[in-house]
Amino acid sequence: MQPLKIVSENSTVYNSPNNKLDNSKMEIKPVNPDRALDQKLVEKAQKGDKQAFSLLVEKYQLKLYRLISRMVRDQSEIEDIVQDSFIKAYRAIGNFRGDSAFYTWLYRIGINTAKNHLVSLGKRPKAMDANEIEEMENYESMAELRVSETPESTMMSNQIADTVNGAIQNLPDELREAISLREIDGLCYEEISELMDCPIGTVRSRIFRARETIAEKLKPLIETTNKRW
Amino acid sequence: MNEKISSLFDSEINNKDVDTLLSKKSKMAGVRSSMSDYQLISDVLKKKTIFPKGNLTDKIMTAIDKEPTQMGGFVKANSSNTAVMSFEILPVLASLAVLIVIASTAFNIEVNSTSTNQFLAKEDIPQEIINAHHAATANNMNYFIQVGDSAK
Repeated sequence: MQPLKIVSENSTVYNSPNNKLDNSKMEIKPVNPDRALDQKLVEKAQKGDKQAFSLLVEKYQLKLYRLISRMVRDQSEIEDIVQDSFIKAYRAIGNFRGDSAFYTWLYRIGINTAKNHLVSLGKRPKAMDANEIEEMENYESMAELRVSETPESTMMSNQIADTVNGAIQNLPDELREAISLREIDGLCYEEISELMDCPIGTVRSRIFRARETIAEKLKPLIETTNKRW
Repeated sequence: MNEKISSLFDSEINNKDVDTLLSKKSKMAGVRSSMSDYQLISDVLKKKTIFPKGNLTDKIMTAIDKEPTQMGGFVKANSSNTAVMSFEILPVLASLAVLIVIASTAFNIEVNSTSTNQFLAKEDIPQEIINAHHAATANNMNYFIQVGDSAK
């Protein structure tokens, strides 16, 4: 098993004998959100398919949570705002025309819901210009988060991080390489298949097996965490 | 099936597999649970702050389940639908136009029967024609004389 060497925040290189990642070949492209999939789920939700909408909720709730946490500190308030935002999105989904990405549309609903929440509490929401809104929509890369943390939640976060990192270290090279290229370097399956010189189906299978192995290690911890959080 | 969920999480899934996943409604809780686990792993690997998520998705979906479902789907106000709408409205507009014409005609007939219009009509006719008409028309006396004459 080879150590994992982090050379920058968003790129990883492995000292594996089968490593196909030489710098000349490595062209890191960020994976764009797949609007086509979102659009398909939105169209199904527009036809009344709540299961399709539930997948959009699962996909974006944590991202929305992070976004709102930049405006509101209290955890239960953030949860209420996230919930209200999704309900508003569901009610208005018929008006979503696909002119923008679904998540952009959802984030704007979230920001407005958070602003209204602050106004209802007598707090003055910070006025934001278009640039700031765009910055918030692309907040993913930002490290600054202001949500209030308890010592217990910090400890659990650390335990989860340790478990994931430990599990990934114990993965077979090809699984570790595949999941890291996907998650850390943000490559799409096609790019990973070129870099690892294997069919896309194999990439798909390796990423899945890596996730399942890590998830198996996490399971007892998640069950405990959900009970406490 | 879980491999499809992993592909779904990465948005690397084809339409057919999305339909397959969504068709298994009884397994949707499992699908969401797997996606949640994958999200957690992803956040750790990307060194993002991990948030206490708990059962937020369940809470949201419970609230959404209380929302009415429109079986025919929501009205989608896109340009193509607007065009279809205008074609659907045309017969209604045509019927309305016919009603307006009929109502207007009926109204005009009623208006023409008023004395104002009669007076205006009388003024419009030249006086010499009226005089000629009166001269050619038998008055009551002449009528009876004529009747009397013809009776002989």
